[in-house]
Amino acid sequence: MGKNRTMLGEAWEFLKVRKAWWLAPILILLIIVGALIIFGQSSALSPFIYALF
Amino acid sequence: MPHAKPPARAVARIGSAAIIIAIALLALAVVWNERIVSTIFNKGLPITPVFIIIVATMRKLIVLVAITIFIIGILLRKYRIPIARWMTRHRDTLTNIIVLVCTMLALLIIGEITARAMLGKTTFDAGGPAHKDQTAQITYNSYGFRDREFPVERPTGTVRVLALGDSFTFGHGIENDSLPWPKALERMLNENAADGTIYEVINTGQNGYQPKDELTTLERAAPLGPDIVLLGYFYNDAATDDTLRELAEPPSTWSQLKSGTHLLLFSHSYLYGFLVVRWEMTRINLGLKESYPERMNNVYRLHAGELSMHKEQLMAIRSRAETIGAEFVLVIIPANYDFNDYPLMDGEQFMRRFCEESRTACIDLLDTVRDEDYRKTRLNEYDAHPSEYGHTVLARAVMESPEFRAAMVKTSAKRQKI
Repeated sequence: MGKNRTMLGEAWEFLKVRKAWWLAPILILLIIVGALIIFGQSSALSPFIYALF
Repeated sequence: MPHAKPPARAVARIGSAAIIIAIALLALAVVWNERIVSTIFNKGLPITPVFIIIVATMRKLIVLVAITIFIIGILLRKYRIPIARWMTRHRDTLTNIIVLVCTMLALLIIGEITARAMLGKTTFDAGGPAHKDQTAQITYNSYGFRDREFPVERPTGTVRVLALGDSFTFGHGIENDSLPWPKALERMLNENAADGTIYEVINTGQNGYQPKDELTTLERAAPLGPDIVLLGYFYNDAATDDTLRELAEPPSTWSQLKSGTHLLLFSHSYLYGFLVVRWEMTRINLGLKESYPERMNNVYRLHAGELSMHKEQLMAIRSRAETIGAEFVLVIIPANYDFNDYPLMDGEQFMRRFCEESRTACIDLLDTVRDEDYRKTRLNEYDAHPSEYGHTVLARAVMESPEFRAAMVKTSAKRQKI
C-alpha cells in the first residue's frame, strides 16, 4: 500500500500521525502557488495590469 | 498535584491591553488623511482618485478593527473567569490555533520577502507595485500631465495640439517621457516644419482613462487654447449604457471596502500582485474567463445597440473641442495583436461606422500598421501596449494621415483670417 501512495498522500499521513496541522498552510500554499505558476502562464491575451486595479 | 488556578488575571490583562490598542487605533483613524499618508508612504506621488479610495478604505478598516478589538477586550474583562477555565481545559487546541495563525503569518511574510527578492520588475511579475514603481519614475507637470510645463499664453507662431487618451497615449511601460506617440509626433512635426512654425503636442493621456475622464481633462486644458484636439481612442474605452449608469451611482460601503482592500493590497504587495495576475491568467488559460481582447470585442459584438451613451461621450468631447475653437480628430489606436488575424474587428467596424455616421474626422491606424510585425510594435510578449517602436509608427501614421493634414490646413486658414 505504502508503495502506491502519492507524495501528497504521504504528506497528509505525516500531518495526521504527527498531528502537525500547523504545517498544513505551508502545504496548501505550495500547491496553490505551484498550480498558478503552471496554469497562469503569460500570453499576449493577458489583461492590462491597471485593469486589475 | 494540585490543579493550577485559572489564569483569570492574565485574561483580564489581555482584555485591558486590547482596549488600549483599540483606543490607539481609533486615534490613528482620526488623524488618518490623504496628506499624512501620502507624505509617509506614497513616495510623494500626486494624490490620485485611486489613492483617495485606498486611504478612505484604510480608515474604515482601522475603525472596524478598533471596534472589534475593543469589544473583544470588554468581553475578555467581563468573562475572564469562564474564559480562563475554558482556556485551561482546551490548552492543546488553543496552542494549535496559535501555532497555525503564527505559521500562516510567517508564510505570508516569507512569501512577500521571496516575491520581492525573486520577481522581476515587470507588471506581469509583480502586478501593482511594479506599475506603481514605473509611474513613480515619470515626470508630471503642474496640470498632472506627463509632459513639460506649457504657458497658458501660446507663443507666436506656435501650433498647439492636445492629445487626449488613456495608457496607449500616456505611454504605459515606456520609461522615456519623450517617446509616447504625442511626443514623437511633436518631434517629427518640428523636424519637418518648413515655415518656422513651432509645434507643441501636449500629452494629457493617463493610464485607465475613460471618455468621461478625457472630457474632464479637455475642460482643464481648455485655457491652453489648443488648435487641434486629438483623441486617442482604444477599445477598452467602450462601455454599455447599463455599465455607465451603474458607474454613475455611488458605490455601496461594502463594494468600496472590497475594491479598496484589493487596491491597497494590489498596489503594495508583490505576493498579492503575483497571485492575482496569475489567477486571472489561469482563468483565461482554462477557458473560465474571456481573454482580454475577446472581452473588449464582445462589448461591440454583443452590445452594439447599447452603446448610445458611449457615442454621446465621444460626441461631447468633439463638441467641447469645437467650442474652444479647436479642430477635432479621433485617432483609433490598434491593439498590438496579430494585425492580420485581428481579434478586435467588431470594435474596428463599430468605430468606422461611428466616424462615418457622425461625420467625425477619424484616423484609423489599423490599415497603416497591417504590414508591421505586431511582435515588434508590442511592449512585450504579454502586453499589447505599444513599444517605443510602436509609438514611433503611430506618430508617423498620425502625421502622414489626410485627416491630420486637413486639420493642420484648417488651423492655418483660421490663423490667416485672424
